[in-house]
Amino acid sequence: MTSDHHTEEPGLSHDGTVPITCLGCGCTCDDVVLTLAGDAVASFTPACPAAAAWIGDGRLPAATHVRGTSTSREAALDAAAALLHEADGQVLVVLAPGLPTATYGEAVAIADALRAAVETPHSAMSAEWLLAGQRRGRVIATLGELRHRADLFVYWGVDPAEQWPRFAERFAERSTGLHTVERSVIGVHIGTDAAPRGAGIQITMAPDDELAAIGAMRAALRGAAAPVAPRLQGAVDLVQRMAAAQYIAIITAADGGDPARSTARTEALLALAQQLNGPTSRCAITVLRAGANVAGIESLLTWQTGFPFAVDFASGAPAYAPERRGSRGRYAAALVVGDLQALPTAVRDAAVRVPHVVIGPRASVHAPDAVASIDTGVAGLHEAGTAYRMDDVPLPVDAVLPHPHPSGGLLAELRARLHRAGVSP
Amino acid sequence: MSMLRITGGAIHDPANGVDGEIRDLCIRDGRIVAELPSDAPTFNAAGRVIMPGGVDIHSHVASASCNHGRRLLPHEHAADPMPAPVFADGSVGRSGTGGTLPSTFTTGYRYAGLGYTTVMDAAVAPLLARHSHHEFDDTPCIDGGFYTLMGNDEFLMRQIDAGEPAKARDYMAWLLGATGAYAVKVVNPGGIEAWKTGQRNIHDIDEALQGRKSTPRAILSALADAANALRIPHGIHIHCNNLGIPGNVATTLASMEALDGRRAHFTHLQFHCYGGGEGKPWSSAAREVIARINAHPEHTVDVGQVMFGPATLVTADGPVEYLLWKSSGRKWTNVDIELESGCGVIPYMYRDTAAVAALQWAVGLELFLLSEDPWRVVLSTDHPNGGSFASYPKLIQLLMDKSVRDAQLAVCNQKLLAGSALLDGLSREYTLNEIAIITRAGPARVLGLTHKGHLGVGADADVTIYDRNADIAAMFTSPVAVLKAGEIIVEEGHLRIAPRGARLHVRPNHDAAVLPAVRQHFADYATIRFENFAVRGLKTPPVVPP
Repeated sequence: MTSDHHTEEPGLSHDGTVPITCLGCGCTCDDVVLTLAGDAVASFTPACPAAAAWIGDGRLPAATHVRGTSTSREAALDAAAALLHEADGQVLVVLAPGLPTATYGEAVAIADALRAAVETPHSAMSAEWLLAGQRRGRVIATLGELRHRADLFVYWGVDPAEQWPRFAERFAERSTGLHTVERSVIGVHIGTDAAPRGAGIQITMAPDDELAAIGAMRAALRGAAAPVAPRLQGAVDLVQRMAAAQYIAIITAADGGDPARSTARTEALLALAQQLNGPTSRCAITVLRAGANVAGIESLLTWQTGFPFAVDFASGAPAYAPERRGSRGRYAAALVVGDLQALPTAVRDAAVRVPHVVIGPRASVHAPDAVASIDTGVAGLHEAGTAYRMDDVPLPVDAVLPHPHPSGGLLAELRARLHRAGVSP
Repeated sequence: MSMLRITGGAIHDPANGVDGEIRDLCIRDGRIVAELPSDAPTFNAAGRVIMPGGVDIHSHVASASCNHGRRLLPHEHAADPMPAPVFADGSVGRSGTGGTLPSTFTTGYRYAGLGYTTVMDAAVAPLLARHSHHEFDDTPCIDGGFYTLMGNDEFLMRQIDAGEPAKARDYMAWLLGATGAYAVKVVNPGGIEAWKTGQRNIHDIDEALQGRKSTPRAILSALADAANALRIPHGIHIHCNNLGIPGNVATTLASMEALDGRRAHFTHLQFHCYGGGEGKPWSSAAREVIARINAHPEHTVDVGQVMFGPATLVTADGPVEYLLWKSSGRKWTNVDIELESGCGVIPYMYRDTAAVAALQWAVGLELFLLSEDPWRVVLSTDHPNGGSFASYPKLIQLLMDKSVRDAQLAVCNQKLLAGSALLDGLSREYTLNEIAIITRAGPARVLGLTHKGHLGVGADADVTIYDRNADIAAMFTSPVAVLKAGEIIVEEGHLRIAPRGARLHVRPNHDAAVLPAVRQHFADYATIRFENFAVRGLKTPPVVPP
């Protein structure tokens, strides 16, 4: 993949402000405006804690290290290529958040050539949702559709306020919809997974009851007359409210929730959302995803290999190994492309427990033990290309601040070195 | 400067009136030329059949919808791994997976392996156009483009409601350029918008959307007029209302009649040619529909043939996928796409033992066999909806060999075939020249691609060379050689190189006076900024109308 659709320069206005697309959370807001002071960010609007954490002052380190010692970019790439080549096919390539989609395309090409395994944040963040969706399908919508259609928002064990601060104002109950006049909000609290406290209706259920509750809701939708246990009656009442709505948005989270949630629970919720589509109501489920361009990682991997995560090229073609995700196999080396620190712990640990190369933001800081590390910028501040919103909508991102190491170029150079070493392509 | 003389082959170039003439074909710098120096390199095609590279007018290969489909098919991909090809220079391509919705690199390699060099993706939501360009970037060997969905577009319907045809036209022109699209696609006009509301669907072309004046008739009329006024190379590409519903022939004929005298393309017609309904069993209405097409030279169609075997239903027509999910219980993905469109995906299997599938198979063949003008009735399976593009050789065999057709018919479930022209013993067998028309020359002409689908001087040197073979399916499965822009990319079943193809897109002129209203529409309703909507930096220049 190339980035040939994104060759225009970003527009820096005469007053030193520049619009950007923020990758601070999966909302991927493109209405953020930076005020620059030289090569740094002086301020930005609108206020958003996720954006503030993402943008900072816009400055990122630009070091290149080999085994902790500062060196040239070329020497770091040589060391990286040597490690990966000598690993003789026992390589783990990890796609980490924060970079343009095209860079991940280069990384997957390297994985293909090395017959490597590919790990992504999804192994730890959203695997159950992806797998359940593959078994059953899913009814979803782009976020603007929720804004314009939904008259009922049901937050299922998630309060977006902290991780997705602008979700409600841009896409949900606090946004201005085209077709909806009145909206209702229901918060479903499941154990420690809290829903918005401001929801008009609050429902609480124990985690152990969740699957039974969804089952009771589905049975009620089918018109089952059998009585339900008293502790599940609230869920039955809830589904009757939902079925009376015209367009229901079920909002839940792929990450940040209870890790013990089962595959069965995930699939049941997808099935409930499907079932709520009937003669009088429509329903879409949104699984909130955090992480800069993690949706782009999944999308690219799907179109290039046919699989959304947990891909292994060991056989010479993509194979799917979701059951071994996170800690599969023994590797002789790892290549991390993206922000190492933004990876889920299990995925990060799988990479750093073996000799590794890190090419990504703050690599020199977060990977002190790396055989080679090269700092890059991040997409939308220092690197141009495409980044995907959590609902798979691709947005252009521009480079508005300087950084000496564009990630796409580094990966292309690494690929060329591997090629010269006899690794195709 | 690259040169190649292909010698001794029987050339089938119907656009230039050449039907099996044995002569040399000269290529220089990616184009067909009249002659070459005598010492130019040669490729011996003696005894072989030469055609232009295949042109697929309607396929689903590079879109966010395809990616939703891929996510549903891990079992297909696991069962069909494709190792990276080793090219002639020793370099290695990219691996991938196949099935009914292959990964991108595999899609390009496999199309090329069949002798196809141009492919159009038939349905891309404008908001997701950027994604399609990325997928095409990773789909080598073919020139590609897509049609952008406009039949349920909020801004457009507002112009129709307001009686603003000029604004609708200028918006169409702007949207085509902004998305880097090649043509306008209309899917279930108004019906996808209805699917998102309590109305659920639209069943008659004069049924208005709730709270609007827009009807399918009004949408079709406005879009056809706009596209024709803008001289877009390909007329609007119409997926009629009521796809796949028994009795939908009435809607199909009414939609055609609504556009009498106006250029338009009706796609996957097979799915729109059913009698029955309202208590009556399904039946074939192919004769009635193809008779109308035969009589209306301003209208073109692709067939959307059903082939027995696995398929994946991928369409913007959300409500029809919902009905299929309800009736089949299969896995189902639905995506509502803001202000524009939708998407539905269901993996499927056409079995010859199933009555409806057998009827669909027969209806498609009837359309082909009763067509009086192959230039206007061209080949498609609506890949992967009616079957994979990999099944094209078998479809060609069905058209060229009555005995193969009859053998399949004999084992089909014939419960719904009463009245089918196929049962009446249609004896027509397509000739090689007619195959060249429905797979190359015809689609290129319908698309307005003046440099493709023929082998005249100045044409793109996209060429396919076949060995003659009594087994037609085998002949069309494995070309001896495939040339893309003058380079041999496939030889004896092996990929030699996998060049990146060109992007086929248009950029019609529009009155910039429409843009303030479009900008305001974005400011009021879109979730991305106007400035971030248009794709940037397409390297290939736009196609200019003939």
